[in-house]
Amino acid sequence: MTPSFETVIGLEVHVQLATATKLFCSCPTDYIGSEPNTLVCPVCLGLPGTLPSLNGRSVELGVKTALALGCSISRTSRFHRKNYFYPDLPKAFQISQYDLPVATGGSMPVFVGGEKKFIGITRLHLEEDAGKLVHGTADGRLSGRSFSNVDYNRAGIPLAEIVSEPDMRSPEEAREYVLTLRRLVRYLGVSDGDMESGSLRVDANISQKCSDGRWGGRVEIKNVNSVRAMERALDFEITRQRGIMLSGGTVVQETRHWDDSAGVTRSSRGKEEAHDYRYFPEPDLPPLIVNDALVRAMGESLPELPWVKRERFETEWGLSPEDAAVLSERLDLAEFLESTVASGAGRDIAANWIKTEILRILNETGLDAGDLPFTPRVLGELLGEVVKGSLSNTAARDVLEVMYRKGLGIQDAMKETGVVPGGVTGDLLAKAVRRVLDANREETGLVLSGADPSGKKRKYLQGLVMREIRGQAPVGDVSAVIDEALRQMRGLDE
Amino acid sequence: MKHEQMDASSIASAVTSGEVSAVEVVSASLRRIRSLEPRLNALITVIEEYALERAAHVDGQVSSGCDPGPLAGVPVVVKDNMCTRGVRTTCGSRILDDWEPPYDAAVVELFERAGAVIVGKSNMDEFAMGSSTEHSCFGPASNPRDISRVPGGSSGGSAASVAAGYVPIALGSDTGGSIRQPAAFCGVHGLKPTYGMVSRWGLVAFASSLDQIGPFGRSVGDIALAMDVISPQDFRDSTCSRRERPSFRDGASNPAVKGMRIGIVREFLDGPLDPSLKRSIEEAASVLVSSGCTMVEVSLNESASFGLPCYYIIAPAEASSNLARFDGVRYGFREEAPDLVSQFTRTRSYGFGEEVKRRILTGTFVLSSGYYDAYYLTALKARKMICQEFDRAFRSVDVILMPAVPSLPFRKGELLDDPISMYMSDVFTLPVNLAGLPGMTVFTGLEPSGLPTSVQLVAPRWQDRRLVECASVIEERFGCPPIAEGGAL
Amino acid sequence: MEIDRKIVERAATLSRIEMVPDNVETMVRFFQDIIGHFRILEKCDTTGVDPFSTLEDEPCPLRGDGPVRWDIGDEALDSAPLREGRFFRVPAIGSEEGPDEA
Repeated sequence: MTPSFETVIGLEVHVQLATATKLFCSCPTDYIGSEPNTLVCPVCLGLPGTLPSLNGRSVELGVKTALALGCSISRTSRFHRKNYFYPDLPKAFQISQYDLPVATGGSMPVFVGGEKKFIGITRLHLEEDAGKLVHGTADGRLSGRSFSNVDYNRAGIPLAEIVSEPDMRSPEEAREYVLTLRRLVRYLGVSDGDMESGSLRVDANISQKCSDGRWGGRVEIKNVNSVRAMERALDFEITRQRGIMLSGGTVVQETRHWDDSAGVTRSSRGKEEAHDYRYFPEPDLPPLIVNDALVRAMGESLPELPWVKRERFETEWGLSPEDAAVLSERLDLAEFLESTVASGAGRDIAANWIKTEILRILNETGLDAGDLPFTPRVLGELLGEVVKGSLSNTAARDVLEVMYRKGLGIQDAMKETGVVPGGVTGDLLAKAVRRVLDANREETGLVLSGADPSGKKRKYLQGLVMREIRGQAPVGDVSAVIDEALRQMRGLDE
Repeated sequence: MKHEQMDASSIASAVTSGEVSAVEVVSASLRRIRSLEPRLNALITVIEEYALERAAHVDGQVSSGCDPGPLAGVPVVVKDNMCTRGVRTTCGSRILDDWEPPYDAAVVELFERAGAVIVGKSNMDEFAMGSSTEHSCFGPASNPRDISRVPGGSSGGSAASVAAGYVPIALGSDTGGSIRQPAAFCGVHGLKPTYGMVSRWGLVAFASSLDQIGPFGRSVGDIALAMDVISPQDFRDSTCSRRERPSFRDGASNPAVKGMRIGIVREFLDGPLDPSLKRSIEEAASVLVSSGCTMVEVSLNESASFGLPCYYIIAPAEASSNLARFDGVRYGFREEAPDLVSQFTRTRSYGFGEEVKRRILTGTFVLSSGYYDAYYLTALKARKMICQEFDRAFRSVDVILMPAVPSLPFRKGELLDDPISMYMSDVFTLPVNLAGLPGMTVFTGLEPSGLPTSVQLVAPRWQDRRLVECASVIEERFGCPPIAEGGAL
Repeated sequence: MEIDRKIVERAATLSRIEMVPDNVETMVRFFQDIIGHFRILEKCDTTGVDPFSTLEDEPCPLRGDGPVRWDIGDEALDSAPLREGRFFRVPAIGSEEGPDEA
């Protein structure tokens, strides 16, 4: 019988904390897009004689994240030095936390295939980021590099490293874990959680448990720069590790680097033996004491957590699981929805409009919902008009568009759009039809003379009328008024 | 009185009152340096032009009626491991390659703000690792009391500068005795404050949990004056205490030693100790007793037995990490190589001297996996026990009186090939660093041979003031150290 | 434990310090002496002793999050052994060397 396998995955996620200054010096943190080596000082350049001084805000953000993950906060924790030589590491050691991290033992729910599963959180600790290396050659090619350039702008940016328990059983679960964690840090405002720019980085540990009792060695995959890359790397490793075990081999415990263009992981063995980080307590920093006041303040600053909101949208509001997921993805969007509903709008229509129209506007503009030129209450009013039937969906969409593009209120936007409350009927509709027919004499003539056997020209005219009145009348009504107008025109001709 | 014989407070008051100009005082100091440096090699860098500019600035302040500060126009020397903006800071090492820091050490800022004028950066054992100032890539310094002998180390250049009358005050750093041992060898006073009393910002680290900056002086009053200037708290050093500081000058001028219980450590008097230094302890004890102190015998058995191995594990461990940043990427010397690892390796192999390499390797070893628990962790625990032992001793005494060094200054070259015997010369000083205590070497006279003797005073943490109080009483009996002329005995 | 060349050479590699053969022997002898000296600590009964220092009687101070620009980038680059534009330059990293840690 062929043995079966179980995949065991644990993730280490580094999150750049959204502080204004670095972890151990007062240099600004907005390094993206800055000229190289401009956001540096003697401390983050590791100049002789400099000493670290801990950023209190980074401790707060770390504690806030840890509380959201249900961790217990260590009232006393410690910094250690992790020693290794690399040109992007200015002191040749990284100040990190080791056996006494700021938080331990939490968990986070993830939803996979409609099921909720709790993934254990081993620890959260604070550490400093390294600088950046740009590789190149004298002739500008990237391969066969002959030198590297070093930029220390990123050196010292605060990171929270969040280590999970090996609780995930598939790449999908790993993906959901990362997405959930990203959503969380964005909700909390502790990080922008952007993987592409490196504010959220993932190292994945993966091993196989065989039904015959054998365990494969644990492989750490580095250099996965997107959720997609992580899933591909994990898939690749599953196949590779199972293949080895099926043919009777042993999977060695090692670090492997993901090569995204080749779609393979490669061993970075060889330098493993040389690794000995010689951790020891950082003598330049006394123990970090997190007092009750800080823990309380951070606890009180927590918003409703994304997974709680999502479940509430589903169970209390009766939204579909998909809508609940979309609408709880972003805190600004979810809060916009809740305020809209609080102002009196119906849950379903508000949810519907916000997941489509508002989300589209936000995606197009990159705006935060709080930055929209109209408030949730105003959106509520607009939706009220729709519910009353005084505005069609299409007309309301047009009005909304003008509201955000020109920053107008509902009334002004309706004027600007030419939208009429209650729709276009009677005289207004007849006049609109006459305007269209008069402006399109050729087509009208063809229709009148019976030279439109397929009815194409007539349809075309009807479309123009619908556009003229911005869809504010049922098609049947429009068609009837056109017929009436044509009849009158024929009568006049005769 | 010649300027070089004046103490710092007399200079400052003469300059402030306009009796003498800072430029005159600093020029006299520079003349003294020029005449003796060829024999002493106490300074790595003499700062002439900038010093005269600073002196003129102080004179300007005086003439415009501003208060130039408590060290107005006082020429000073700082050890060359303290960063001076725009003035090379070498740590006595090739690897820094005339690096000019873009910032000033906290003590340099404080000295300059107090009106002091830095005239030189003193010679030292490379990265403060050594007890003789022979491990300097700028050549050995000499003891101004006998130039065939070492001035002690690692702050040998600072101690020699004060003994030779270059300046009344110099700053050194003390990790295992590097202020108190050279003070003893050169015959001046030297104080190592409580760990956390003086900011380490801008002090190139040797062993961060042990390093502390302190002054050398030829009078207890000057030591106290310097301490009052350099001891304010500093947020840039997270280990610098936020406690209130004592007034050292008040302690020096109003010593309240009556009723103090002085501890004598049997273990330290029964071991190897030069008879003249043992005599100094006895004489100092009788001076203190006649001032109303009582003598109490205390035991420091663990410090005496385990201090040395404990120190020579912890200090190199921290040093191996602190000195890892010297890789030739951002500053200092670099030996070019085609690939990165060889460049790091060649830069460091050529840039560091032998003693530094010995300590880096020792430190790396005691931290490496498989040995950490047996050596580094055990040493941390032993250190804790040494702290607790001192705590116990200080329940029955207020100040401990013990030797600063086991021997009189040795001859140049005498211990150069025997690193471990060299390490032994710190046996009385390094337990004090391990426990973070304040300690002070107090001059007790010159032997008929011309070599100086001394005692060491040790107080509980934050009781540094007691040291200057007791030292004042001892100084009253033995006198201030005379200026040495830099001859040979 | 026997102190031999291997131990010294491993410490040297980790320290990025090159040992020429003559020096290795001297260093091995030094290691034997100093580590022999460390053995004194075996007599020190540390059972139950918390390794953390009693010197740390004040907690780590926390700095406020207000940014300060030092603008020393150029000065720092100028004192680098090899400056290339706005970068510090180093030779190629051996083909197998990746950054040790993210």
